[in-house]
Amino acid sequence: MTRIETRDYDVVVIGGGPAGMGAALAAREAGASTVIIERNAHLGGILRQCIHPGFGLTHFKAELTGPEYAQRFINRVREADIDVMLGSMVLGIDEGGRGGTAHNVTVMGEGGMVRLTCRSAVLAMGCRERTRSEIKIPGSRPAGVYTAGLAQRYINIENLRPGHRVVILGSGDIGLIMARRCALEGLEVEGVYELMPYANGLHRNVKNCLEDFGIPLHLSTTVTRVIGRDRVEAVEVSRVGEDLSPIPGTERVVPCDTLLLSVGLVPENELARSAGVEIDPRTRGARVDQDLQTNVAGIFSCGNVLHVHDLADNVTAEATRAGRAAAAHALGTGERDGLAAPIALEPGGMAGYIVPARIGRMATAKAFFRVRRPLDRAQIVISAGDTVLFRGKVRDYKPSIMETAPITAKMLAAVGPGEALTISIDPVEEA
Amino acid sequence: MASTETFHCTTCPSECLLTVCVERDGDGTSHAASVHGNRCPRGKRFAEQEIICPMRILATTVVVEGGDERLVPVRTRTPIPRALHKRAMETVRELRVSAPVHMGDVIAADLLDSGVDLIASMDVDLA
Repeated sequence: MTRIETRDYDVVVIGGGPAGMGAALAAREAGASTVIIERNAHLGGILRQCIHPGFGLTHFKAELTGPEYAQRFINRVREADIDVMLGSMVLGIDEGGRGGTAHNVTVMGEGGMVRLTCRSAVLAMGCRERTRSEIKIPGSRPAGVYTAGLAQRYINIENLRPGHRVVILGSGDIGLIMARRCALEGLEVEGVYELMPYANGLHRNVKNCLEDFGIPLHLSTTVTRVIGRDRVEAVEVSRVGEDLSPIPGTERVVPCDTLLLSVGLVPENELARSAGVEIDPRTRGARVDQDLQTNVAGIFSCGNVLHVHDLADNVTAEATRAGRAAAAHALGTGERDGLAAPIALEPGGMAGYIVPARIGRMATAKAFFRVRRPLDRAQIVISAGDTVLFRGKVRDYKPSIMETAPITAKMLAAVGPGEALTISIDPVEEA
Repeated sequence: MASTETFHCTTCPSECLLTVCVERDGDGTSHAASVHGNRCPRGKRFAEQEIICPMRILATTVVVEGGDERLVPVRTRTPIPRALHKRAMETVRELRVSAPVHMGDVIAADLLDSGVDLIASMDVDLA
């Protein structure tokens, strides 16, 4: 049997997109020897194909395109004495490294299989698009049905044209951005259809991507059938009722040769699951503590593999915290004032999820969440058991915007044994 | 003649909903007489510009020869009139550049006499 080459690091970062690069830079800055493992031939992740502006407003105080945002980080990674393995795929993570004191990360790279041992591993693999099979659109199975991100890759990276007359299902940001991109490239965009009674993307994208190009947005309408033998020839669309099911008799056939799906993103956590990482069914990402550490000591998670973000800037901020914590864990410089039993954070009311899932230290922390549907008047209520600890001011909330709740040491101290800290978004009736 | 328009500011992620009182001038042009709903001065400037002449950054791609990518993403350095975008796309589609390309390289100077350069958004190395 040939011996597998083994290399030792303090921190192994899996994924070379904004989350991975942010985490690696923070870990290296904290003094940890660090490697990034990236599946593609380049660093940058999905930002390489997000050629539109709107990135970096918070982190760089400048409006950058996705590739510019990525390139700035690529340049910093190059200067930072961080090892980078491109064209490399992680096959598994196990706890058998260095006599059980470290994680083993098994990588299939360009030169064959390599084993990396590390005290800390950061999961930064990003997310995947939901596909036609996940939303179960009936009809035939012709060519011409793409996820919006795949069509984006064809147009912006591969220089391929996905079709001529396009229908887009889903008004998430990727769908809206692809409507504009197709229109600019001379494809006819028949319209964007949205199951919900509201647009799912940011206002800026509804305005700049649809209104600027006169592309109609059909709310409470969905694709109910794909028509065509070898290639899409048309789709059937139907209005939906309040229960989101199609209303019989409202069917309309829309001729097109391309259907783009922008129907949600799912964290890519197969690797995490097989490493024993506990997954939150709400986010489909890992359950982490305030330092982004999972239930497996030394495995951290950040970016879209943890929960889907709407802004790359927020990914960078989260990744920086994860990288710093991963380095502290690896180098033994972490905080020592942990709680005997961590306090669980639970979403309540219209809050769809909460990250982190638990807090293990008596210190100020931030919790991140999204609401499940748009609310014109609602307030955040933080409570422990029946005791309300904090009430926010009444304002509007949108599912497309990730929100932040401040968690103070005082709130944590008010949580009794066996109780959780509940972060709830409660609708408020007009007075 | 005056009318009211409402739209979201796209300057930052706050996305303030702006209400703009638009006055039509004698020569057929319009201007914003008042702007409400903005939480910072940039919102007011955005609304005023939006009424006179909407400006947008154009982002697209250009074919690269001899690179390790087929395309280089490009952008206008600053926003150009929205009305120029269609014609700009026709011009940019015909462009070819040779690798290596670096972020910030000028791909087309003074695009359509807009006074704004088209620049590369990313590095493309030699194949």
